[in-house]
Amino acid sequence: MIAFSMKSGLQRGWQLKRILAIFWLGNLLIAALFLRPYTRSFYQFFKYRLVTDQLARQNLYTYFAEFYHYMKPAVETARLTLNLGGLLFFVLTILLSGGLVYYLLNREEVQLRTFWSQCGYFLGRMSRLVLLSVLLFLTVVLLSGIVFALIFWILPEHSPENQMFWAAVLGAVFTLFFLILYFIVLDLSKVYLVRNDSPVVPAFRHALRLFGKQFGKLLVTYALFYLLSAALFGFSFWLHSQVPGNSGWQIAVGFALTQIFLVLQFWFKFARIGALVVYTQNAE
Amino acid sequence: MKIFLSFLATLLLLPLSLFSQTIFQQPLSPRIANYQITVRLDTEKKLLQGEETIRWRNHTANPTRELQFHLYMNAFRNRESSFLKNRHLRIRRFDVKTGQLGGVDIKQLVVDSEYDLTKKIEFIHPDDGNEQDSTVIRVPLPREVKPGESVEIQIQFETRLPEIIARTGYSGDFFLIAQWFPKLGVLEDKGWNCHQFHPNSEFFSDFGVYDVSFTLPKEYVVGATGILVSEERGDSLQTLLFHAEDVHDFALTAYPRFQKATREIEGVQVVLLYPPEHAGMVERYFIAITYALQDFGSWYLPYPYPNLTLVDPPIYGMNAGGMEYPCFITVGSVWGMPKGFKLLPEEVTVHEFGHQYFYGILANNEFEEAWLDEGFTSYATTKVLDKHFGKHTSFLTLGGILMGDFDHQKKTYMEHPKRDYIVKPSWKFELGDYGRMVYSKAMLTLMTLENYLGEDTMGKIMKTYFQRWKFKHPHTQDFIDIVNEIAPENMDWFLKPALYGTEVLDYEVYQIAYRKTKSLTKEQADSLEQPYNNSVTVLRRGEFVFPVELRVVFDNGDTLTTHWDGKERYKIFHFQRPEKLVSACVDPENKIYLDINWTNNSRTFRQNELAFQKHWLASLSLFQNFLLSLFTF
Repeated sequence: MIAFSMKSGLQRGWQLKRILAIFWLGNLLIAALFLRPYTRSFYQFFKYRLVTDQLARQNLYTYFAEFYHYMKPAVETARLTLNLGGLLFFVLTILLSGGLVYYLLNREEVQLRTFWSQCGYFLGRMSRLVLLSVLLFLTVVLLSGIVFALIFWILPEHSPENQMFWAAVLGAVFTLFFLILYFIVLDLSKVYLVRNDSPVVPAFRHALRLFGKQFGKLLVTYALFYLLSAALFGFSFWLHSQVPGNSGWQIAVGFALTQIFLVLQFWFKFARIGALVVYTQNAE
Repeated sequence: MKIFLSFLATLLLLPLSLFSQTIFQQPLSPRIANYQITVRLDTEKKLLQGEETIRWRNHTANPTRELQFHLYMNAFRNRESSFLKNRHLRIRRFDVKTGQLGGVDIKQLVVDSEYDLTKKIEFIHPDDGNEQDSTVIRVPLPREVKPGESVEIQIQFETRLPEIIARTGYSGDFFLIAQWFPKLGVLEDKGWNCHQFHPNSEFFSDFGVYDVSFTLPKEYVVGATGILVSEERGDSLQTLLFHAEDVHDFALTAYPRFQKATREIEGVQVVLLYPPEHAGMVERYFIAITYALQDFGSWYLPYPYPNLTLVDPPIYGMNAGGMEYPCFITVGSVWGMPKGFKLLPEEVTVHEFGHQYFYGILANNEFEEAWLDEGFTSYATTKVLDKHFGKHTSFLTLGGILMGDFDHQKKTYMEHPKRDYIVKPSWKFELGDYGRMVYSKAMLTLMTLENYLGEDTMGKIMKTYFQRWKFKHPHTQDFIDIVNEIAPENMDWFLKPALYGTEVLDYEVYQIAYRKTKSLTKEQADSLEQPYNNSVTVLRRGEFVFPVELRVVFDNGDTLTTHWDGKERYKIFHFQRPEKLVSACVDPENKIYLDINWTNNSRTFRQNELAFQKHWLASLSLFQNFLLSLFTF
């Protein structure tokens, strides 16, 4: 069941190339647009300065320190813009959720008109689900806090830092565990919300019911997906370190690698929800 | 008399080897204040019970009728002490709310074995008049001590150690015992120099010989200033005897989990005490200390003492890290520290070792002229680290960012360069200006001076400074006098504003231009041998005047270097040449470390677009990844 759901999720996710492209393009465009005040400040500070020769070769801290110090007002403004970009992308993902889940449930060719209409149709309920997810997320934070407090309460006072490190790792593992549960419940709610065309609370209740029944399998499925994402992240990081970025083509290759990495991560996200669809169908 | 007999008995119990031990055949220092201390550590109560005999000589030209002592540990006695009251000042790693306070009590003070002056002890507050501060005492003497005469003082004291604060105290079963005994101030010709303990200030005392007998539970591993002369181990206690010559302080550490690594480096026995989980850092410590011993030895003078103890505290004792005492430094690292991060342990090791020279050997007054130890040590640290780890990589090489040791000093100074000046009593600094001026600006000043005079001249200055002032108490003017004696010109024009002023140094290439001579036709101009009138406008943006080098590059690759005294507000340089100007740069080698903005030092017509593309795409990728992380719904 686990392997089947993952395979099915990956297949279905890959079939939604158009939606994948929308997510990726949305990410790229918002990033490029909202980054502009920052890059403009950077350009303004360094334009016609010889230090650009050094910066092209190495990221020398001293010049960055000068940039952040002397362009502080501009950088502060740019930071605000970057935050706005982040908010916009978050809103975009809420908007696109309805259409995405709709096509993960219905194995039909993606029609953009239908996609957008589904996005619009479910937008209100998806937004309400966000509010509910905040409560869920706060529960995760609370539980993680309790676990951390317990671990460090059990740990003898004045323990060596390697023991403290592993204790912190244990706490982080629990936090990840709670986060995975959070994402399972949230994604399941989205699936039930679209599948049953139901209000938020019944969808959430359905999600909790299935979560209770299939806890182990759901957990393993999501954990495997996140491991896959982490492995991809590690591989991408290593690949980037192999491209020094000292020439135009190296920079282009580095950038292309990032884009491939992003597309794959979006795909995995689609696949995770796609796998849940299999579980919901199987539960009937 | 009773006290005297008790001290006599204590001294007789000490092994003879303690007194027969000699490190230096000829004293290196005047040995003005000599201490024999017997102390016992109660590890449960965090209490030191001790007796000390001080033999002090009046080396000034004037007689004195009183003694003044530092009781540093009383800075933590109450929250109204000058130290704790001013905690809004930047105090490193310290939390008053959770810290247990400590203190020192003098149980008895006897002079010349017969005069019990305990009741005549008077607390004084020479710096701020704070009646609640009890870090300095005055004791009237029963007789006048004339120049060249000596006096012997016996003191019984009890020191309650605080939870680590200002790099002293305990944390769990780890102890760093510093500033723990009643300690004489320094008598100068103008009177006693004995300041209160303040958040920013460190210490000042005379050289002498220390014999310390330290008793504590036998499971503890101990490190100390001085060499271990003998040890006695009983059923539950151990007594260790340490001996140090020509030092001006004595610190101890004790911790049952300490591992010990010993190596002979440059003829010095280096002992590293570290918790077992820091075993991976041992080589890094020894590499750093080897570089430091070699470089300081060749640049200034060979490390004169036979031993050096490095203390790497456990994580919960980390507040004790990064401090210097004679032949004894506390360093610091954490388990799993990446190699690219050199603040811990390399930087802190070299820096604290540097204090063996600037504080240890050149024992300046840290209260009044802290830059003489912190500034010089920061300067020497940067030189050592840059030499061995690279100018732009000596502090940090992580995640594609390259940071030199000087970078963080420059950044600190750059933030508020005008707010204060360097040579000022340490307790009078506000906010973060103590570190900014005393460490950062001082280091940048010395690097600028070295680059201006040249490494050879600066080397001669430093060697002379050491030869003339080793084992003495130098002042700022003593250093300035040596600079002016050795440098080819009087350097007051630089040192006075740099050390006593708030002027900022910043030169900018404001504009570069080229044009053909106007009155000529194109044909006429083309036929001219030198048709281009190239110009460079250099601006002095700050008030600090400094001569600068200007390097211009032309489109055929020719380079031309010229100099400007930097006195005017701006200067326009003209270059009539057949080639067009491509770029201009003041201080092209970045020798002027005090220049607060290196980016504006140049202008070019051929900017490197790759830098922008690279940064833009890197920022874009980073921001895209950040957005991806927001895809949580």
